[in-house]
Amino acid sequence: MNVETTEKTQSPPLQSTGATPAATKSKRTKIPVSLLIGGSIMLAWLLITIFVPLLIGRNAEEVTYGSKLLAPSADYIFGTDALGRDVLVRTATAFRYDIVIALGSVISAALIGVLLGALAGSVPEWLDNIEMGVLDVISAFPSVILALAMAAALGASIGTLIFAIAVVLIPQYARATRAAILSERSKPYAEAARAMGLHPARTVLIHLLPNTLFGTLTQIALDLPTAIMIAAGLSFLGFGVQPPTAEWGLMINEGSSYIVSGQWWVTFFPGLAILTLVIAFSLLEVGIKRFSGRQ
Amino acid sequence: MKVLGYAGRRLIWMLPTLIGALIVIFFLTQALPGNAAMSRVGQFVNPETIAQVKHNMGLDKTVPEQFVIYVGHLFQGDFGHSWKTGNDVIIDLGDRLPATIELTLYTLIIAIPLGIVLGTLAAATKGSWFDRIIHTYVTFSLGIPVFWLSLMLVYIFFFLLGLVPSPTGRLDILDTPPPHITGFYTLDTLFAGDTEMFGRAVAHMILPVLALVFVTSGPIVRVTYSTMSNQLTSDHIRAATASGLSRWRIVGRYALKNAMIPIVTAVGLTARLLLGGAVLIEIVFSWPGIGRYAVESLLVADLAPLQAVVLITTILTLLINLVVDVSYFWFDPRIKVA
Repeated sequence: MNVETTEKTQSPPLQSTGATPAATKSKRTKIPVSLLIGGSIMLAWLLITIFVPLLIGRNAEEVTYGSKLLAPSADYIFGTDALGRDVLVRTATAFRYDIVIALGSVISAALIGVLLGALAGSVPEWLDNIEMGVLDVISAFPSVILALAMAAALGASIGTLIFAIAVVLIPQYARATRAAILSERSKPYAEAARAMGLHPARTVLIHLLPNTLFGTLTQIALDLPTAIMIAAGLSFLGFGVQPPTAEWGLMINEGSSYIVSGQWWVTFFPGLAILTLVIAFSLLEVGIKRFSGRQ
Repeated sequence: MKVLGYAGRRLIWMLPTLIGALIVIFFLTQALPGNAAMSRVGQFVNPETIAQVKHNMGLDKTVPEQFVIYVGHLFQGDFGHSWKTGNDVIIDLGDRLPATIELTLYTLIIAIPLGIVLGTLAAATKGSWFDRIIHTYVTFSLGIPVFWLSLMLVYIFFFLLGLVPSPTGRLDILDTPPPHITGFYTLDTLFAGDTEMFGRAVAHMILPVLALVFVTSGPIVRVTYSTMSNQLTSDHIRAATASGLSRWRIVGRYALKNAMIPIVTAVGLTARLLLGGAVLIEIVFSWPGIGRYAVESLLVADLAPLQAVVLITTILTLLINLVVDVSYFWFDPRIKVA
């Protein structure tokens, strides 16, 4: 027991060497602007998705006959689509689905990928080779095409969409974690753990893995936009979220046939929504990097 | 010569990955919902007909047997038969692959130099208004879904301004394609001496290429920018500056050369992303390429074309990786073949 606590208190200083206490302090107190802006956009989206449908008093899937393809006006701020549904309400509601798909797929990819990477970094070499070979096969496919084939094979739904995107993203987490574990393994504290006869699984999971998590966190922030883009792309092609659910990619698809006849609003607003969310994620990623002072 | 040997070894090492990919492709398409035999002849036929069709399509054999037959055919250059188009897949690909390659090739020809030049200029003028514009450009380039951008471009340039033709594919609807020589309409129309149709072929390419260039140049700009920023503050550049060389000579000849390796890596990544992005673009512009072929086959459970497209894009991905790795030797002579 005693031995374990000294282990834990020893590892953090190894991480933060290089920064003088004063420098660390001044950085910690000042939150980067990008983090603030990114966070504000996310907060704004949270408020929009909760309150806009309530305030307007219309449902995202509510069909109103006689008000098809209305241009933006005071009544319908973002206009209506071909079925007379309110584009503003649909765009606001769609955030819930897109954020769930993005977070769900990236976090499950990170969890599975990190575990696979830790495994590859600690098993005998031949097993490591086989595992990495399998992951190489997955990354040999262009990601959109692999996700497309998987989503189609498993039947289009939000669940399979999350699964398909996660599979595409897993290899990079596994690879990064494996590399980090291999480099951590040669550090003195890891050797100490080994010398004390700790079980290898325990050494990797409790002592080595926590020191690799910072890279994973940055990768998560980097992958969220990718996940949103793939999800919207697959839904746009008809293999993701299915009608009548409000989802940005699907909404863009539904509006695409009206672009050549000038009804731009059905397509425009969901795409703008994707853009703001992706920008928010990249600001958050930059912010996280700056905040931890490791750029 | 050593580099050639290395490339050869890498090619051999691609084989296990390729076999793995084949297994994934085969079983993934096996798992597709829908009954291939039934979607071919319709559901209102008697069971004997279905059995007969299944037999003709080889679907009555066990799955491992089908896999062996599939791979065997592949080695003879036989990608199977598309019942939807009624052609052998290899024939369909002969029409569609050039359409996709033409699109991606023009995109890369523009996006790579553009990305490198913009990234270099922004890094050389750090903190200026130009630098800030480029930063905004990159942010939008990485954040815009390519299919949405395409639709917006169609709205502006076709519907509002009428500057480009409608998004109906590679030529106007009534045009007959030029005689097949290269499969690239921008070249074949010239070989046929039809400059008017050449103009239409170019006009149809403008928007899809513009959209793809915008989204693919962003990552290249970003990597060029960060590598060049590091280069320009390095010791050897300071030494060159101190010896009085002109600024642009230093940037172009000394810094850029040293920055090429990360840039080439980024270009490789972009080229791979482009293969996926082309699928979305082809749907928007009714572009008769392999991406649209795959999506249309997927919708009616036509397995052979889908398998072929996934296989081809996978091979292209592996080849791009190989070219990127081999090019390291050329850009940095210090790298030795291990």
